[in-house]
Amino acid sequence: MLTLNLAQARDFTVASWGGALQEAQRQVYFAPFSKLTNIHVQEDVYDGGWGKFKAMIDTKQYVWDVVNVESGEMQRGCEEGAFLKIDWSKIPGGKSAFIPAAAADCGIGAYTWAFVVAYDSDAMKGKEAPKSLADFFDMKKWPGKRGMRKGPRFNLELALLADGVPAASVYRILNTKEGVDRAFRKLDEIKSSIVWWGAPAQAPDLLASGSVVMTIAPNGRIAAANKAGKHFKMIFKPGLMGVDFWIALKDSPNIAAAKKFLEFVSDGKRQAELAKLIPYAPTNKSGETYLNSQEKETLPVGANIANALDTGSTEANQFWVDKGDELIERWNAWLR
Amino acid sequence: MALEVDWGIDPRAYRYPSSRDETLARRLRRAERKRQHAAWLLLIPAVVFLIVALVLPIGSILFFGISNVSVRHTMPRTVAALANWTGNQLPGPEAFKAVVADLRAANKTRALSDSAQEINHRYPGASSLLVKSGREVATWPPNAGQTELIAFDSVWSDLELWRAIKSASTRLTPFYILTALDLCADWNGRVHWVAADHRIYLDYLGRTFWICFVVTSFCIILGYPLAFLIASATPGASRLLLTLTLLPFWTSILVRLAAWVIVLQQNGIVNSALTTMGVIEQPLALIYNRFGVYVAMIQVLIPFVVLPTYSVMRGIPKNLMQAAASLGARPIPAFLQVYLPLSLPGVAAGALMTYIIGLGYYITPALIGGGNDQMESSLIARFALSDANWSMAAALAIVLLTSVGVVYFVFSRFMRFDALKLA
Repeated sequence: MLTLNLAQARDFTVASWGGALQEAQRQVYFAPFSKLTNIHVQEDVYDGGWGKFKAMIDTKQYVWDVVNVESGEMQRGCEEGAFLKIDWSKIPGGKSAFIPAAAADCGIGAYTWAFVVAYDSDAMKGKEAPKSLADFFDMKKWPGKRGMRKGPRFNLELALLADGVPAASVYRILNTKEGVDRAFRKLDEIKSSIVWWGAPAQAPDLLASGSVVMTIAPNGRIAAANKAGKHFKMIFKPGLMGVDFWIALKDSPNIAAAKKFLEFVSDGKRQAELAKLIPYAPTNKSGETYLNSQEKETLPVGANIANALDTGSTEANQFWVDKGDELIERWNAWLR
Repeated sequence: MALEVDWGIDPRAYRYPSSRDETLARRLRRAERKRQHAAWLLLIPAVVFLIVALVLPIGSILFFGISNVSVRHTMPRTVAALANWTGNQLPGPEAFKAVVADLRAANKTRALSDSAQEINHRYPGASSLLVKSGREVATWPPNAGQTELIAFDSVWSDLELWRAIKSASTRLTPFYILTALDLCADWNGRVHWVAADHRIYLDYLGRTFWICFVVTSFCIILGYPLAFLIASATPGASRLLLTLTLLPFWTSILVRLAAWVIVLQQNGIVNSALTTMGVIEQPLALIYNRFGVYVAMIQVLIPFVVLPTYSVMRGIPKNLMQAAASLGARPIPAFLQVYLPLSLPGVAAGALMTYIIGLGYYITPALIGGGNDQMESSLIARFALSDANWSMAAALAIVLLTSVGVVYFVFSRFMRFDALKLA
């Protein structure tokens, strides 16, 4: 009983990814939500993965109410019955107001992101600039280090895309041994020059310090660096896109506030405001009408993501749930 | 005349203890026993605390590494049906019926997800198969079994899948520990190495031990002269040096690592200085490789060597070296034969602490190192925090803990235990 009362006393807590993204979300969502509803929003940082959720669910100690998660965790939480099932009739516009990838059973799409190839146009002055993902793997024309995210996820897909596989077939091919071998062979072309980053904030730092010539990075972090004065350029196509979701923990003590918050963040105009601060695109289709054409050029919207590989599809997540352990082992062995 | 010497003492007094002496001896022994009992009683709170706060929690987590937690609870009918199954061919129709019943009962629960993962560790692909099947069986008639399952997905007729389910259904399992050692056991119980392109764990373990060995060695090489300096300086200077050595402890390790990034990066302080001075043409690769990891870890772990060494050195009388000189010894032999052996217990204690603390490091290699420099604890962290695969995390932790135990055992045989002085 005592612990139950202590749990009730906790503030409504939202966890997101930290850094520039969370600062922008604070400005667009958390502060206005607090002002509107008088509910204080306590913030926390989420580093990804399922470990924290497993601990919360196993011990029934819910320290978070709403979390900004990747699609894999959203689907797992939905399967396990831990995340709130979204009542789309209560969300203005319903499911059809959102892009298909963003209207999920247990999550509302928070924003669309893309993984791009980024390079410093100042450092490339006088030289030919890279134009596509295939150029990322061209060590002859652009010698120097490459930045990539740690772990096999996204990197195996990028390798196949760079090798010419169309986005619709990537996971089917990756599901075979020959497909995985093909992806690793492509990565072997640049293996000795890769600098691995773990936290998304590291990617623009690597470019800025000159440690890498090109890096794979989330588009939002690169754009934030550009706002701070850099001249990084992004290559969107072919690339990866994904949707991150807002989810609510079904058994948390502040579930009523969580539902209000989910409704608040589904609004297209507010999502567009977030896009102006950090270029992660709105998932609510009406959000695009609030952006001008210049903004739409550097955002994962429209043409930029037309043929991108959706890394959050059911096919994608099922593939990684099944083959993730195996591939991580192979990946770590490959790193040797 | 016989030689009689008067010693002034009565010889009879030392032949048998008198009755008064006997009671005294017994009283002494009783008092001694009481003191020992009191000492043991004072120890009990500490022992209880250790057991409750350390042994039980860590023990229960480590138990994950040798046990199956989910399948036994979620799929009891299947477990019972497979109890006497030899595994040489597909199980009978009762096992299939049992699976259907279990899936129906467990569908849409957390339990099915966890169990599916547990089987997936042994048979990649089982996770989505079980979850998909769980959704499907809800629409089947009550006595559905073998034909329906195999018709739904032919993977259900794979013998290896059933072997995986059986393997995941026992209370204790060697699977995770074997995986953590790059081994696997086939159905007949023969243990052999996993395929070459999946072997990673022993590499990580070896690399972890090697990195710690190099770091500890350099900490001793660099820390011993520093400790000597602090021990032989004037009190004021010695206090200042000690404070400077301890100062890094007051900054967060992440801040220190970020500082190293700024110093060692391509356009960082070191490279800029060397390029401006004309010593080098191209910037040196000082970070995101093994060199960077060594530098950062040595800087963080040096105080652990300096402090015990210094405190032992402080206890060495200053006139010993002078005495050696007065006996004709030259400075270097005097140092080697007099000072060094006396300071060795402190060095040994510092080295042991540095080594064991270093074994747990993974953030430093993660931020400063390259792909080839990651240490064992980073695997444990990933399994525990990101994948929520506590069985694998616990198995790796058991392996690491056992290795540390072996190191400590070897070390304590090498250096006599009573020679170790920690303070």
